Amino acid sequence: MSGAEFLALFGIGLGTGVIGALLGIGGGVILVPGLALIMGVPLRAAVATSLVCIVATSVASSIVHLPRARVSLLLAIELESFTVFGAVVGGLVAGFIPAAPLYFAFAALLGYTGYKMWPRRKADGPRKTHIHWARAASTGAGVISSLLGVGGGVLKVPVLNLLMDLDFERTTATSIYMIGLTTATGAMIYLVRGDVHFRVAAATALGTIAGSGVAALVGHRFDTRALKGAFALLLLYVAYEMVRHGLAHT
Amino acid sequence: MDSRTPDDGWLPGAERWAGRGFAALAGSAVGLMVGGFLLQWGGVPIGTHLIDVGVLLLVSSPIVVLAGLALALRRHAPRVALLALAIIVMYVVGVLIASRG
Repeated sequence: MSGAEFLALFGIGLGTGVIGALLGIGGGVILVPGLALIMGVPLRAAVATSLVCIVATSVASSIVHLPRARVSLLLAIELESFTVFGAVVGGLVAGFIPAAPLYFAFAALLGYTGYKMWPRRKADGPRKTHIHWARAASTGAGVISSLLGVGGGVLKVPVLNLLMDLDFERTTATSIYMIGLTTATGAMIYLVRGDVHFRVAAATALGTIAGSGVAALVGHRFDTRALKGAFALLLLYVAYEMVRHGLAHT
Repeated sequence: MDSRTPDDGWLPGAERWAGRGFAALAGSAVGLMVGGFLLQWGGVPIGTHLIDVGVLLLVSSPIVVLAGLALALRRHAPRVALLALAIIVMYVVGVLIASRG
């Protein structure tokens, strides 16, 4: 790998790490097209590399967030166990469920969640938390991520922010920690199968670690309403992508 | 606000130790990857292997830290330790199934 290639991959990782750490997402929606279209990495290797980088984002952000008590660790472990269980169920039923209606239903859900996440003037006092709904939604998120290959932050952030009433800073910190656990399994499976291009993954992951580490350190200085607005727009973009995939499956 | 679920204890400082675990593992991984690239550009073949080990270390770090938390929490928050163990078991089973094709 030449120095120029290394720098290009490092740059893609850097940008994704910053966005991922600020919004509490893994960044696969940015990384996979970036690696495949800009760097010409084969799609399967791009997906595998993106999973390695998502783990890197999670690890680098958690190094900053955990000692500052921004991660609700107990809640993260609890909800993550439901997500993993849902992912296993999704993997088992994947062959029996038609993809197209699922894409449309998920797009509608994302659109509604985007509307709910849009920043508004906060009501006085803390809202009620809904742990049972959060558990159910986490299980559903696991099923959906297994069936549609999406998930991560676009599902975890709304669960933590809307159902558990965490403020946006704690929401993103907890979400990004949980994403590391979810993605580590997929990344290790790709590694075992030999789909990961180690040097491409390492160069991109180094950029991701730098970007997400810096963003996690300075992220609290950003306007929360702007970050929530950016996240709501991201949800609408993913909803649009789901509709496009759904139309391709009809 | 308290977002913890009811009926659970907690180990004070668990977050700080988890953060240190991540820092140690990620720091080693970054060192291996950067060192690997430098050696590789210098024409030393072992550099490639260092990069491989660095990536493996990075990818396994969330589960290694979770395993440490599960061990530490087994007396203070046994239900959470059990949930962490369930995640680890599903991770190991998934990787084992994948490795057998």
